[in-house]
Amino acid sequence: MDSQAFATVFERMKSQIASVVVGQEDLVEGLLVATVARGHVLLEGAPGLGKTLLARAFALTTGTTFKRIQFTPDLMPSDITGSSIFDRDKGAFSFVPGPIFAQIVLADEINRAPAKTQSALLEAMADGSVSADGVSRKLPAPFLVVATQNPIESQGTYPLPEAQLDRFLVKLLVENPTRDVEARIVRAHADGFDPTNLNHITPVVDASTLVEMSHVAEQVRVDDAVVGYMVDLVRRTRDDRTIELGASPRASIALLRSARVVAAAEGRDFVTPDDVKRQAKAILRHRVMLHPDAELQGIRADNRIDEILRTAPVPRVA
Amino acid sequence: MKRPFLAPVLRPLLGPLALVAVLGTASHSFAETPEESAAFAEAAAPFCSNPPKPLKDDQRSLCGYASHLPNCAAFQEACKQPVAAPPDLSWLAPLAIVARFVLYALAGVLVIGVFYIIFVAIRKVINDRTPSETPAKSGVKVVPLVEDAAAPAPLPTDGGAALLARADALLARGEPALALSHYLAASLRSLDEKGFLRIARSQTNGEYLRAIRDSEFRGAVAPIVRAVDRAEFGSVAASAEEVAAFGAAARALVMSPRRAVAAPSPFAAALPVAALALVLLGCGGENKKHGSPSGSEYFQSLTSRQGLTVTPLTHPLATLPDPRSKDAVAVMLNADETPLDDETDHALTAWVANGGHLLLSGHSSSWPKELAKAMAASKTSALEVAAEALAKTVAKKIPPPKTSEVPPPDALLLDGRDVRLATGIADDEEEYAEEDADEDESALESREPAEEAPRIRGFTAYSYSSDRPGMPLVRRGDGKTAASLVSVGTGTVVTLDEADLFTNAALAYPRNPTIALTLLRVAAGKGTPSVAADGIVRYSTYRTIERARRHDGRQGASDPLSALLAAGLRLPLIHAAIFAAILFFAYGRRMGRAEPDRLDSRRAFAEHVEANGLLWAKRKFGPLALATWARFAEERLRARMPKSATDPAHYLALETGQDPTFITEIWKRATEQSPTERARGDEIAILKTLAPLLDRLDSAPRRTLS
Repeated sequence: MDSQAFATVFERMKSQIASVVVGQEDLVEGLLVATVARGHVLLEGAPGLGKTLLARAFALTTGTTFKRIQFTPDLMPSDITGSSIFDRDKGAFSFVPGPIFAQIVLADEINRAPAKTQSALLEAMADGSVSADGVSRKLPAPFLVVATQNPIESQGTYPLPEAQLDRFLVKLLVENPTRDVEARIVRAHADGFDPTNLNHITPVVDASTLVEMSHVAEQVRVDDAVVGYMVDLVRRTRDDRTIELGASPRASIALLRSARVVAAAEGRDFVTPDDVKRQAKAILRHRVMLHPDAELQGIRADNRIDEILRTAPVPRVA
Repeated sequence: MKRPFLAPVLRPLLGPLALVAVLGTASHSFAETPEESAAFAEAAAPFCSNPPKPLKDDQRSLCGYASHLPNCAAFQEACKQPVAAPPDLSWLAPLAIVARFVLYALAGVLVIGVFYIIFVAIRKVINDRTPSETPAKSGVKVVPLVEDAAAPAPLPTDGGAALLARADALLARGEPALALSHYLAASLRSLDEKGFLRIARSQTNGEYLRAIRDSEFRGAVAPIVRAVDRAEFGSVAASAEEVAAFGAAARALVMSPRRAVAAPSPFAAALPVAALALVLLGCGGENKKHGSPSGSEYFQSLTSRQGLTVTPLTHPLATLPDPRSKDAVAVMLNADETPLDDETDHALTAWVANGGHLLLSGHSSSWPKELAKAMAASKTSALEVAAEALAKTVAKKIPPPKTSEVPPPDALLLDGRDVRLATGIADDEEEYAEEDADEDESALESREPAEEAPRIRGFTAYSYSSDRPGMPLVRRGDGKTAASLVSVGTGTVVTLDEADLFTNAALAYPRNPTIALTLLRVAAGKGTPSVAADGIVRYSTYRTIERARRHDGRQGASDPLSALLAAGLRLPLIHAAIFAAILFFAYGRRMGRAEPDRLDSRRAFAEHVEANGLLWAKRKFGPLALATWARFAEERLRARMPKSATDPAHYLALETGQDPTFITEIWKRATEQSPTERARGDEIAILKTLAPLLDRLDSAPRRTLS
């Protein structure tokens, strides 16, 4: 598969999902980029904006297995990873895989589970494997965790720790649709659209194609000037006075991976600063911790990242 | 006793004094001949026939003339109209306070804006003068051409056309990669100049492309952007033919005359509105069809017909040119209208003392202080001697005046009594001298009689019959001196204790043009005066009279602060300084408190919770504050507790040395608190009991329960 074929497949996947999830083209693209870049996605948005629908449509489009985990305060780690159960017939313990053993895992309202349960996802997200009963079990490839959280409610929630936030490649914001888009959604439902029945979606690619796409993206050329630009952006988050904790080098790597996918999705075999800039907010917004004073003044991470993007010089070779 | 004749000293004073000797006659022959009055008999005064209604305050102050002016019934009628009571605007007082602060703020913004504009202008000038920095503005690094013998003269690096020429030169030199970059730079710069985008160092080529709304231009630039990106970041150079094609596209773009349709700026949009407002509301000037009693049309007509040149002041009063120069001017100053600052007052006094000639009108209380002091201290002996000699001469030439005409009490009269007194003494017409001596008895009593001849004493006595210094030129109907001539140093000041004389209403009165003209001639005359048969005094030449305007009495500010103070912004400046100090300390305190180096990794969350708790406690939201704090505290405790501990309250009590039962009880109360529950009143007390314990625990070293 070359860059052009990559771009074609990418566009087909995007169109397929966008036909179901109306008016969220940027969100769909972000999800696809994260998947091909082998990253995990944190979706933040109010209930009812189609986060679950998006994950399900994505799983169906890519022909991957899909599991959903509703996080609750009493959810145990073993409820996610699975546990060993004594098999009376065999007279031995046998491992029953949990819902984590799927290619697309939707962790709905992830911040409702306590930290101990949340951390059960860490190993799976970082290594692509699960340890249970002293045995490490490999998860299927590709493996993508799509976690959702509601930014409004704080009652009975456990904010994700910074270490776990860093595991997500991108944090995508699910915004309310515009009036026209909302009208299209209502019209579709009036015409019989059933979000629980997505059987009409046919897979555009299979899991192996996704893996191949990842390999293609990894071959995209990145000029030193562009690498310098990525590093500059990340380092600027550490020098910003309103940011208490800047992004880590992992953020630079994340920028590299996602920018490569964006370039490939446009049929290019090289990354431009524009690709980096387009992914910067999604990559950085959950990796910076604002100063308390800045938070009290209503400043958001996106504001500071915008400012950094506005002031950082773009490299030019000539 | 014969006095020596001090010719050198008296020469400058002879002219004015000669006039004094003639004025009496002039006043009595005024009704028959003076040409200056004839000008006003040609037509009825517009303000008499069609006065403005209602009259303004300055116009109403001239109503005293109304009953004495011929054919001026309409003006009289207008004067009889009651003054409309001002509307009750007391309800606007609170708004005025707000408006005052808003105006102060706007003034501050205006000052900042002015400084910003100056700063931007200076920066632009500096940038324009530094050619090497110009390419950086475009965000595109422009590579200078290597100079060689065949190379043309260096091309300017600024502007789309210049960059295009440079790109062509690079292509011709066989450097297509650099030429391609320059073609893109030329295209972007040209689009910037046309208003389609704004070049910035932080913009990517893709952003430039997306910023171009014009589809034609976007279509032209897109392939160039792709080629440049491919060459710069993909290491795939374009061929010379491709670059040439891109060059053609760039050239077409640069040469295109199309420009973006920019939205009108607020300033441009405001212009028509302002013009409309001016048309509808006028600009505050007098309506010419009415004419104004307080206008100056008659004054201008009078002076132009009589050969006097009156112009606005060409120099500020503080920097008048040398009065001894050939082109020295006489200055006309209305002290009521043109207030003088101290420095101008000092400079004007020095100018007069050095030989300047000043016609000073306005109420004496508003005269410049230093000048008034110099006038009061002036020595009049020279005047007196000269007056004596001239009075003799004039008295022989001109018959005694007739006194049959009785002027109105508020009218100005040329002071003939000086002449009568002087001539009377000189020519033994003692009845005049006795009459005047009787009238001025009080003045004589209050002043030491002069040691010189009685004639001088008599003149002196009358000269000082009022509280004004100098030699009287004009008196009022009640005998008070209205105008006088004062010598200050080698210069003279003609004082007029009012400013109405030069208004239309005053000049319409039959006697007053002669008075006004005489005063102007005395102030501006040069050389020796001649006395005509009609008694009018004339000089061979006159100085140009420059009339001071309202703003001529104040010097320009030497610095911005002085300008603000002169504009009456002293109090706003103090307010601004106080606010700036408060902001400075408030901001500095906050920034000082938030030193990132001293923060631990969870400080943001902890401070956020504490700040919220404090806010809710202050707002008496006890249940919410307690419930929030309890959640936070439990999380902190559980994070700190060893694995063997299960009860946060028990752990807290043990670690802080408190009674476990008590702590468990209030801990339970805290953790069970619902944010929406009605307040019981003990929430803040519990919070104040538990919070210090948690703080103490946080600052103590961690230990286990085992």
